[in-house]
Amino acid sequence: MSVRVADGIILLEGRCRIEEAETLLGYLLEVPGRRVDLSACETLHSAVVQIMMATRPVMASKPVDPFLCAYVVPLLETERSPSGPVPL
Amino acid sequence: MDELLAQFLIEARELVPEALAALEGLRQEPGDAGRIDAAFRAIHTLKGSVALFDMAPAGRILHAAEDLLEGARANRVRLDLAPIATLVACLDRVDAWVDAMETEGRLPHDAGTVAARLLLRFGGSEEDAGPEPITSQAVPDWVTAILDREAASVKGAAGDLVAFRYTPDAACFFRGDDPLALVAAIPETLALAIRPRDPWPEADVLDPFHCNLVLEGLSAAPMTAVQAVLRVVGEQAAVFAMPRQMDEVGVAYDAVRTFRIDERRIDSLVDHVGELVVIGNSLASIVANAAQSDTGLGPRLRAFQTELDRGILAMQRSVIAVRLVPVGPAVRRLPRLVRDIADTLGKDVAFVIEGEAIEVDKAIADILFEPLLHLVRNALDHGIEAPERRIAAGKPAQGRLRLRFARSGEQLHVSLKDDGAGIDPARIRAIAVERGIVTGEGSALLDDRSATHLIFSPGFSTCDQVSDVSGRGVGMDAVRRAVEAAGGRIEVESAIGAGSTMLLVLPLSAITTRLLVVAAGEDRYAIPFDRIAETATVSAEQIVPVGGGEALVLRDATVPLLHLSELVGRGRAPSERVRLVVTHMNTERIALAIDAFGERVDSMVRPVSGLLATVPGIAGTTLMSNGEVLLVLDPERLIG
Amino acid sequence: MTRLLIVDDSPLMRRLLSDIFGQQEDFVVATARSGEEAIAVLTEFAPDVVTLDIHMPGMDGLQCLDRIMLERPTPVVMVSALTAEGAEETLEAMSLGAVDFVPKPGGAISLEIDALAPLLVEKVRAAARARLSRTARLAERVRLQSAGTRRRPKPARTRGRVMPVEWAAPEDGAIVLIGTSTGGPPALDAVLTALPATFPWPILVAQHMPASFTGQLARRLDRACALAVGEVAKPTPIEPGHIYIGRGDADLIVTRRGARLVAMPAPEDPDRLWHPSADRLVESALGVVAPERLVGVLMTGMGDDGAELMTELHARGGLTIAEAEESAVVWGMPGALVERGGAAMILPRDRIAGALLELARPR
Repeated sequence: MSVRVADGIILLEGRCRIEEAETLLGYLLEVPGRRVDLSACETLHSAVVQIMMATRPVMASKPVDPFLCAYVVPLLETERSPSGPVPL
Repeated sequence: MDELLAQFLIEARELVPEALAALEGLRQEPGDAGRIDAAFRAIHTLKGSVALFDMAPAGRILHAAEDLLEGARANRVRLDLAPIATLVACLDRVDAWVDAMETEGRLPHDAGTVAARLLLRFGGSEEDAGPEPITSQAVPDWVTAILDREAASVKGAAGDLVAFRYTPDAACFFRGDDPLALVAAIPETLALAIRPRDPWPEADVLDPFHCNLVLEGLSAAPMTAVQAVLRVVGEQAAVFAMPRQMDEVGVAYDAVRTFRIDERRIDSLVDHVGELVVIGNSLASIVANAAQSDTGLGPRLRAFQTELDRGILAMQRSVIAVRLVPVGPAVRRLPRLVRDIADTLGKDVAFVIEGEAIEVDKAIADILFEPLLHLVRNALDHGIEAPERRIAAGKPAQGRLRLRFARSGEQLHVSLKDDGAGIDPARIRAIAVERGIVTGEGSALLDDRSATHLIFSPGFSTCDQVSDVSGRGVGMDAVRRAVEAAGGRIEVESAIGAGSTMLLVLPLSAITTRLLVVAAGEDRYAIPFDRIAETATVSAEQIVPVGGGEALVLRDATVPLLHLSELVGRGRAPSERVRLVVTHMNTERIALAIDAFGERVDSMVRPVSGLLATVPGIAGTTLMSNGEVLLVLDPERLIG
Repeated sequence: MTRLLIVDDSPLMRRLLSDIFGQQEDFVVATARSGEEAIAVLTEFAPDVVTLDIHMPGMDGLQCLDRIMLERPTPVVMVSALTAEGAEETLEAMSLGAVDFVPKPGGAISLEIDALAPLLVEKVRAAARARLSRTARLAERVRLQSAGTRRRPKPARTRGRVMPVEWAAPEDGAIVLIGTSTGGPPALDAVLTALPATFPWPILVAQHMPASFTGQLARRLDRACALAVGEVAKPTPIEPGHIYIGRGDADLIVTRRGARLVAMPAPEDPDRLWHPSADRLVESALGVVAPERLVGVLMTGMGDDGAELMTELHARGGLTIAEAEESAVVWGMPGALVERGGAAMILPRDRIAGALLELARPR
């Protein structure tokens, strides 16, 4: 499992495959307001990114991967970007 | 090469001609069950085989073809000429794609679109398929949008940029796609936007496996590198190269800021500009009047009018330019058809096209194909000889056929030259007399060139039997009419034993026509400039009676003379000075005597309707600036 | 040695299939170019298994299948186009007695042929060993002819022994999870049409099939069943008394949205061989539903999909039923469940519906 909950935070670790999208959504629906930690995340499947774009959880910790930092992180930080098209 | 593919190529190249032969037979014997069956079997087997390769568009059109033939077998569908033509078009296309599989290892990029267009022909009439897509450098809206958003990246970039947009199918996750991973593989990404395609639903009704993303961005990598990554997702992705035409970044940016426009909007723009031209013309006479009565205002008005004219002219040019397309796409089917026809006839022909890049008005490009196909068929059937005969005549066994497009002033010259047997004027005369097109005496009066032009007469056929290829002797007449309807003319030049050249002269633009206003008695008419070889004024003595008519010597050639007032059913007023409009009648020149020259105008010629439409020699009507409506004459028709 | 007769009008397809099976040491291959030719060589060549193209000029695949079943019943694997039309014809073929089908190679499949070939060989090999009942198709025909379009479900009765296990349906009802593969469509037809409209539990079905077939399968079953049958093409709340057919080329999973249970298609799990995967269906249900509320049914099919997770279901207090060897076309999946000791009940196809009714009967 590369998606798990520890201390109330959802941890996405390693390579998050497509089936984790349902798991992640389940965790987010279970307790609204849970934060996500991407620090140990290597890759995210599009379906997983989609879940975060649609539900906009607050990010507890950023990923290391440069591609994720450059293009995915801006989609997730609710404090900074409003919904809709994301400026680059 | 893949062994399976090799076998497929052999098989497909047997099946396509097999099906075509059966269809050709059906043209002769409509409804022949044996041939329907043969075509069905060949197409069915071919369909099964193309399914083994990455040729889905071919599979789709063959499937439709099979359905049609299935219907014919069950007597649910009648196979008229139109459906047969559709089937042949499908087979031609598949044949071309088979070649592409051999040379490129895949279908051309437009295969899906081409197949879709062909499929439409099964559903309804050919018109339903709509016009050929304009493949000029229209920039899609999405690229414009990216450029707007990513202006900074564009400005900062050193080289050419490629814009890409990938809209994955909603079901793409089920095929194992990971759009983000794919886009991450695009080299040298400068910008990437990941956006929802539709607004996100509430989390509790969210389908986690329903893809709702659009991924757009810019890459500094070469086009081929970007395409290589996105190829696997086919039509879900679009790429667009943004060439850097100048060093100035801003200019390059502006250069691609164009967009696609509905053709009808352009047409209405053309109409409006045309009307503006007429209004501009009317201003000229008002300014002239004003200048006479007010010498102070006159020059100022004239200066103003000159500016206005310049503006209108520039606008007209721009509008014309919008409608310009290269002629190439209009004739790209010809090489294959030439091959097919030559095969059917057992002839070996090398076909070349030159000047495909020449741009003409879309309306002109649109009408080119049918007449050219007819001419090509004719050249292959009647012009170029069978290999044995060619060898016997000391020519290479392989015939040569050259289609050439060239610009000449405001005209498009399309020539089709073959090195075949040429046209024998004596034989043409004999046939024309036999068919009652001319009398025996009449034919004797014609020189060889004029006699050769008889092939364009209605009901003329040079072949004693109706042939498989060039049809039923309506061809050349139909060609001439089509070309004339587009404001053009056709000529033929031929030398026995050396071959023939067909020349189509067409206007480059189909928008306004430059007209010369002439008077015949009290009436005024307009004659299109492109029908006028020259104008002249001669003294009455120069005119001499010849046979039942009159002629004069003009530039060392004897030119028959006719009086416009007589042609339009009025009496002739004697005059010492005779004003002439010299026009082409095929290759011959004919002088038309008129009573006065009027102004020159650029105006739209509207087609005639109602009673006028039945009067020969009337090309249309035009609205003058003073509200006067003039008949626009078609001198050739008027004389003929 | 397995004697295989390949019937296809396309020389290329015959070549492709001959090549694939020619490379197997245990196959003797003959080919026929038409239905007529197949019938002509049937007795002489005496194939153990036949692959049959549906679309052929002259006698088509279905007519040919019909003749084979009458003249010399032989396991037949249909080679089918993955289209709605192909699905209907294939399901028709299976009701006429065809054992299984393989997708007609298409698209860029020539490039993937190495990946496809093992599946093809496995299916044909399994089909060659399939049990053919001479009477099955006769009964089918009589039923079709007498019942018209809408078949009336026959009240099924459980004969003999009733519950061999200590399992009682919980108050809030159970969910039935069915997994099947080769020979599945006729088996589903037999079980599901025998359930009355009053059957109170939802039924989720993982039938190994491509996506283009499952919609057609659901529609056929819906016409024939008293219960409403639908294909799960998007997240769908699970309702009592409904039958949910998992969409092909995907897995079927059970998930929870608030208080509701939802069935939805999920992209194929690449770690599993067959889809929709019965194992994944059971696994997902175990994740959101108490085991004692689950009834697993594993029917005819090659391979062992479903056996692992249904064994776990059994161990955790759910009820499991394996189709008996006597009625299964291929006793692979149910056999695997029995072998692992995961089957609480082993029943022939005709008694499964009765058992479900009995279990669901309020007591």
